Amino acid sequence: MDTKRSAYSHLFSADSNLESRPTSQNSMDFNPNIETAEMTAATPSSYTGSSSSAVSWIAWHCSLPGNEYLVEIPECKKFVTVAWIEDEFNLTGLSSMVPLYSLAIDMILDLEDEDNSDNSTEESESGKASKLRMVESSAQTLYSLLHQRFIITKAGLHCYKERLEEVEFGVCPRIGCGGCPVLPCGMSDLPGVSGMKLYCPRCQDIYKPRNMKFHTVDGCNFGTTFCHLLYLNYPELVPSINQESFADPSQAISKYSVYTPRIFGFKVSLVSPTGPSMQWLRWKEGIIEDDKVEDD
Amino acid sequence: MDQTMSDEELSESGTSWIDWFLSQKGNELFCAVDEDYILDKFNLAGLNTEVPHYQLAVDLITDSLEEDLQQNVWEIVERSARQLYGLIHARYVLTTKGLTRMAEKFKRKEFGKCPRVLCEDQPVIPVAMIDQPGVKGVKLYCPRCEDVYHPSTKKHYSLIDGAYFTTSLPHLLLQMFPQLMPEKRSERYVPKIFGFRIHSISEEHRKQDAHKEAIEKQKQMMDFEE
Repeated sequence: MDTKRSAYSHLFSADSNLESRPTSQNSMDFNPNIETAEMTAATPSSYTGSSSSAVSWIAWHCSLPGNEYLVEIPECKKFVTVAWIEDEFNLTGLSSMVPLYSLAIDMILDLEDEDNSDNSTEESESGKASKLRMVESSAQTLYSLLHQRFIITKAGLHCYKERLEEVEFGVCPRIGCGGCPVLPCGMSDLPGVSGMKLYCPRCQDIYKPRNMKFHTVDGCNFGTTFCHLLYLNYPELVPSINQESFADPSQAISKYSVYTPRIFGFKVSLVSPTGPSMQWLRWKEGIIEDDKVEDD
Repeated sequence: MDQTMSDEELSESGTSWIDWFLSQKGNELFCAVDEDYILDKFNLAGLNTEVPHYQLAVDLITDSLEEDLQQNVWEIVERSARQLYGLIHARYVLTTKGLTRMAEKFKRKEFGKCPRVLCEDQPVIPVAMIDQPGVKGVKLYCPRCEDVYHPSTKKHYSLIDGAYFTTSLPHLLLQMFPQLMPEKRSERYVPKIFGFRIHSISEEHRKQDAHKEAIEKQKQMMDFEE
């Protein structure tokens, strides 16, 4: 068991990113001989064996640089009653979306498969490593799909609500939003389409994360639905245009405002070919138009 | 900014103080001010009361400082020179030459990009929220969505005083070079839950559209009057 973990760590250091997803051709090369029955056969006693390997796959995955915004889906180890991933119902349809599905799910749940470790003596070291790499990347894809489903459950939304109240995801880069906290979101529900973006509920717009490490995070981890469903569930988290503090009163935000272009203090005319023509985008009912834009 | 430059360094490197200043981390947003512009006393009118050791600072900027200064005085002069350069820069960038230099930097995307997803990496222009020095840091204006954004806190220039770029710069620049104006796009991000639009947000969007039409009408009226 320890040897397998160390084999992992060799791969982990090799920076296995989302880009290095295996093609379907490669996945045909070897036959995963694990049945779903094995998953259910894994008793808690066999599971505790892997506790020697310090961290679970999920905990490790969520601690990777860039993955700080993910949450750990509770597994049986921590929440005996909430075996969310182990509930087959929650996995419906995912098996056709990821190659090496059953191996990947075992990797996520840290389930060891005995047959495989016996056979592996016959295979070459490089073959083992490349297989592991393929399983690893499909486990990452599978985890992002699972994560997308989990965070729109009640438990997932609650978890993100708490993190949002702590302003863990940063604030809107737009000055007129006065430091409104943002939430991570995706532009597609499918893996590998676009990166993670940040949604600001005040200007209802999406921004690219400033930190380069988040540019490689797949937007599929969050999906298109999540942040809007969260704000529908917790409408008090959307600051109104005159509100000056967030959920936690110590977190001060300033009024919502719209920027007015000025030259030497005079507004640029609407008639000018380079005059303002996009101000409607940030316009909201009840806003004082000539308000001085404030920041910080 | 902790780097300081000694006399020896200056004479050894053979570069002017302005070149050295511009090459420092965090000063990427500044453009080079012509020495002729600084040497013309008319352009510096009123600045002598703004910084301590004004004359020494001007001499340092124009590389004509001859006296050997004590360490503590040198540090003050150094700081004054940086501040004075910023104040001169604020005046210079609104001249024809200065605007041309800033336009070149804008074309080379040296000021960064708009963080808004739908602006698709539109280059931005530095702008101030207030013309008074020492009040607020520099901000970035995106000509596509016509909005102002905070520079990334990771960037060293996020601490530079906004007044060195003036509140007018991006607007004057676009008036002068209308060809640099990006194409406006009226699309907006539409939040959806399981593919369905959200009622409350759609209503806000409809109000925005009504506001947009009202402005369009106002614009047509103004056109007509002219």
